[in-house]
Amino acid sequence: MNVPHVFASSIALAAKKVVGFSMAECNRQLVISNAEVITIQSKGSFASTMEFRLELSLVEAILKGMKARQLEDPGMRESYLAEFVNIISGHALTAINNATEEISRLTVPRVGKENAYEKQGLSDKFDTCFTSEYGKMEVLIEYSLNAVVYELT
Amino acid sequence: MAHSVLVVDDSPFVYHQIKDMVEGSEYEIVGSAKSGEEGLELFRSLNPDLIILDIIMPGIDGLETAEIMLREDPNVKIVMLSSLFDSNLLDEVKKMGLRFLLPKPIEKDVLFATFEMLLGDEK
Repeated sequence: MNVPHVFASSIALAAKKVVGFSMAECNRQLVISNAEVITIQSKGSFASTMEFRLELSLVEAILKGMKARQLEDPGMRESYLAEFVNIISGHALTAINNATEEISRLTVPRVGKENAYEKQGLSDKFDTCFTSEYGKMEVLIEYSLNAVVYELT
Repeated sequence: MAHSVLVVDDSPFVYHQIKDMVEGSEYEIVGSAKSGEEGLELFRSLNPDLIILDIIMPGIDGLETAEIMLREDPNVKIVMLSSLFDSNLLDEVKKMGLRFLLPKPIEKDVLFATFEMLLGDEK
């Protein structure tokens, strides 16, 4: 199974459903310096730490797309961004779980913290990025897939 | 009379999404909770017709919360919500005696059809 491909296609599809605009996968690595960082983990057969780095202009577009309210409350902004990441990573993990027929579950996302989780024992990693008319998003994933995957030929 | 709905989800996005969807309909949100613990309190005090319950939450998660609700009222009508909706999770939800797991983000038509099916069980 091509884990980066599964992630990229699931994330792009889910993001459009949540915010209403398209995010296309990039062909090259990005370095987003001034980014909002949201981290989430999965535990189980697909153990991973996923770090989402969003350009601030994209953050504003996401909040608008989610019709975010009461943003004067600082916790509210974090809650919306956490839910955005929860949904898009949930769609990606659903695809992995269905392909492997194994069980992995998500943790509650953490907003604004780089290296928010321990990454012990994760053997593989990849970076992917997405662009939209509103800005860019980079996703850094470290993972271990402890499942036998039978590819259909 | 409107059917009362309790929303248990730590995300304001989901709460506002559902609030917008039910506006002007035969459903009315009578309470909202951001954790399983708070959800259980409102479930006991409000006795809602329908409960929308997220699975991934801080503290007691949605599955454990649903289990307690079902123990206290086997006829409680619960719609589970999750960003994750793989076949194992569907099986787990079914084994608990629940029939509906909706993927996030919620679609209005799907939510209303689910409510109708749950309430139709009474007829």
